[in-house]
Amino acid sequence: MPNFCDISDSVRIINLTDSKFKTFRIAFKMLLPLDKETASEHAVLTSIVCRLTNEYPEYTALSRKLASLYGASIYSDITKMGDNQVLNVALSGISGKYAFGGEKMEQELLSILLSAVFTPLKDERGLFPEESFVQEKRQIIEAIEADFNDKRIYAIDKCLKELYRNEKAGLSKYGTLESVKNIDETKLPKFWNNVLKKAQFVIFVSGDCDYKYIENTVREKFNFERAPYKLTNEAKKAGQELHVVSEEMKLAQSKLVLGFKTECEDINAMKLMSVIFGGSPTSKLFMNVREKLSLCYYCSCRPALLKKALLVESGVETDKLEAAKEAILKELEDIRQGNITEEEFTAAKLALYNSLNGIEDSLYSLEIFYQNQIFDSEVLTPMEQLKKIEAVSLSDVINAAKLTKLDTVYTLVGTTVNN
Amino acid sequence: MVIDMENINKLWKKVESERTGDHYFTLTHPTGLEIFVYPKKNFSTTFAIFGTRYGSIDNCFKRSDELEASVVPEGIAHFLEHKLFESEEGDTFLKFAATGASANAFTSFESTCYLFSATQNIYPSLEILLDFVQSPYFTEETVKKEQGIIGQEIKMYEDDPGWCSMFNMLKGMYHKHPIKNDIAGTVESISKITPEYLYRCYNTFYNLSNMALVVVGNAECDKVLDICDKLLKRTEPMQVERIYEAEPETVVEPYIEQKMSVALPLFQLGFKESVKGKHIDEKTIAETEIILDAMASDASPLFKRLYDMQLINESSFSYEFFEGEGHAAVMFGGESRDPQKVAEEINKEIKKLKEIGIDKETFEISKRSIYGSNISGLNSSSAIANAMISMKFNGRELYKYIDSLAVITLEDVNRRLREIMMEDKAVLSVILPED
Repeated sequence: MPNFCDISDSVRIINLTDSKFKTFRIAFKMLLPLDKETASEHAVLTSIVCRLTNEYPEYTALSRKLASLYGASIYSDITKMGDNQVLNVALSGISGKYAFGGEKMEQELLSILLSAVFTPLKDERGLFPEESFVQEKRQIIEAIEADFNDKRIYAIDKCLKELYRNEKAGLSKYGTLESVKNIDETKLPKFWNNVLKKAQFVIFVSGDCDYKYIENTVREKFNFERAPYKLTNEAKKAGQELHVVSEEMKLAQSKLVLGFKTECEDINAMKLMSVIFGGSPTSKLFMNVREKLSLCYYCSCRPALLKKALLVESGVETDKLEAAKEAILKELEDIRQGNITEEEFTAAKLALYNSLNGIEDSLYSLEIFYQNQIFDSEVLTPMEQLKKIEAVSLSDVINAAKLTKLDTVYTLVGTTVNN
Repeated sequence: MVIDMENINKLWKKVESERTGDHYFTLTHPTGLEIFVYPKKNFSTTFAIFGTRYGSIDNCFKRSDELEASVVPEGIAHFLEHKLFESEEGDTFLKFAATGASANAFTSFESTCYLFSATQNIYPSLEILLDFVQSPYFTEETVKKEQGIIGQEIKMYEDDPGWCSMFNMLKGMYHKHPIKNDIAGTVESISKITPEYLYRCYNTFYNLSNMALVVVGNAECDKVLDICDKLLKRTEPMQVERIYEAEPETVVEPYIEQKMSVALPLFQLGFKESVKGKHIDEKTIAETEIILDAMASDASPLFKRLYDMQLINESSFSYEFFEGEGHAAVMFGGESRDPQKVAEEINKEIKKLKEIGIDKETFEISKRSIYGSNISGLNSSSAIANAMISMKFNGRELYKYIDSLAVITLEDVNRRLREIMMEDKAVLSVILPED
């Protein structure tokens, strides 16, 4: 079990250090409610603060410093967890053991990260440097545009937006293109102070580094009054009527994404059910819809457990869209009817064991594994979760499928005529 | 557990890296197969790759047991990859499912690899891997079905702007070299594939002396060897000569554009290099990587200038040295509102850098940065296994490559800089939004 250090009820450091790795990672996760009034400001701010620091007020100087520390990196991104926005600022570098200059890697890198987060660079106006603002705003706009370039991502985003149409989670992690364009630069310092004061902080320290030094140094930074948000997360039931959304685009292959909602409370049964349904190359969707019926090139599902949702995505020929949808729904109906072979059931459990057993071999997987449990009352290790999966019965899986209902059908119809 | 090192050493050659503290064992099996076992202490995951040096560019070849060379349709290597997962008894994924291993495969320009990652039942999974790759089974009916599935895959790539931008660039660069063709082939070329073609290419390239097995993680050498002894099928040793038409030094077209459903234009700018001999050695590759890092990493003046001009963004701008048998190119890519302007600025920078050379401090920083990324790569069993097998097929070695970084001098790098990235060998490929 990793060691948790609670600096306060809203600041937790999680020690995942392990000397088998040749690198280390320190990640600050700042959780706030996802809100259309603040989402875009938070997104732009998270990258602004990482761009320049008081010690390295020029972009190239900071980049050169990181490069000379054996290509270390400091980066930021934005994700969503249920109805909440997560502002991620992280650093990674090689362990001091492999630094031929004898550098104290964690000290050098942590000081840059802490300076960026707690005392970000401001200009003589008391604002964030204009150059940072302009560039980071542009990059968020381009990131939104890039999501349109990848039609697989685009189709999933569209379906999620429709599936969460009456919920906070329906908002994009960046807010809207409009709200990014309309950010008022003069208000940003206030927004960042608000993040420092009100976000829930979860800090992950992993890989080969001096944990105690990091814990002590980080602890000293939280010496100010905080008034954290109470984070909430709501999961709505499926609508009474099927929500159908479709759009056309000049593409060779169409995309079909189905959004389901579940009322199943047993998350382990949901996990296992989704692996049997479409989470592996021996799942029902892969074996039957793709392999036997040749209806699509890819067809898989994944659960969004916090939102009690499940998403099936597939790439389909335009004239097979309806047939693919029917075939996908038939597979779910089969699970509801208990048409699951012993092999399918065992294979799904083994696949989950395999991925749980491998979590401790990657710094990133380890971090995400524990991040996903932020809202859970009880935190489990991969081995403890494995035991819970072991205990799931066939009838639990059938029950999970029965409680899972189709809510949204999204199709992106390709209109390119193929010869 | 006690490993009998003395006994291991009699059969296996131990290759050590003082710099990284890692090591691996290697052995050439009597069947001709080269085997690598790379221990990762305290890791739970074992990653195994069984691969053949046979990729999408190997469509014209001459076997040592035949007099004439033969030409086959494009896309067979990839087609074989799909088909080998199906055996007479059914789908191979089902066999792996019973061990819990996660299996996959990929085809590149120069190799086809089958792999699994497992945290339990490692040896039974290894048996499945060795068995299915050595058990081809193709019928008219199964080939026909696969043509449909691969046709869908090809269409999916037609909608991928990054993919199209890359292949358009390669088409603009190469007159003859098959690197310009899509790995999966075309809907037309795969329609010509028959079970006979598949068996012929299988028997030519899936010869154990043309293959390698890499196991990284938690496996013991003698157990791996026992399974190999039991399952490897002896084949007549055979040499395969890959035949490529002579490739002119010039490019086909310096500029190519295509319109697609994108919000922001994409570009790929490549500089063709003439390749003498088969493959480029470890040191030359490391030199080129230092040059690219010094010239275009986010710590470089070029990056800063492009960024200030709002011509590139951090998440998409990239560069790489892309090379293989008979081809090599330096490439830059990303999203930009004005790809032509980006190309112009890159060309200006190359010209300037060739005149003044890379400075000592930048050179040292880039060397450290590349060293760091190599160390980071050794964290992951899958990254190690992929690097080991691709280096083996290209006649290179992992530690030799990492060590070569330490001996490269500034003079080496500046000499290499003057040989590459010639403006008259450049191709710019651009994907623009529909009108």
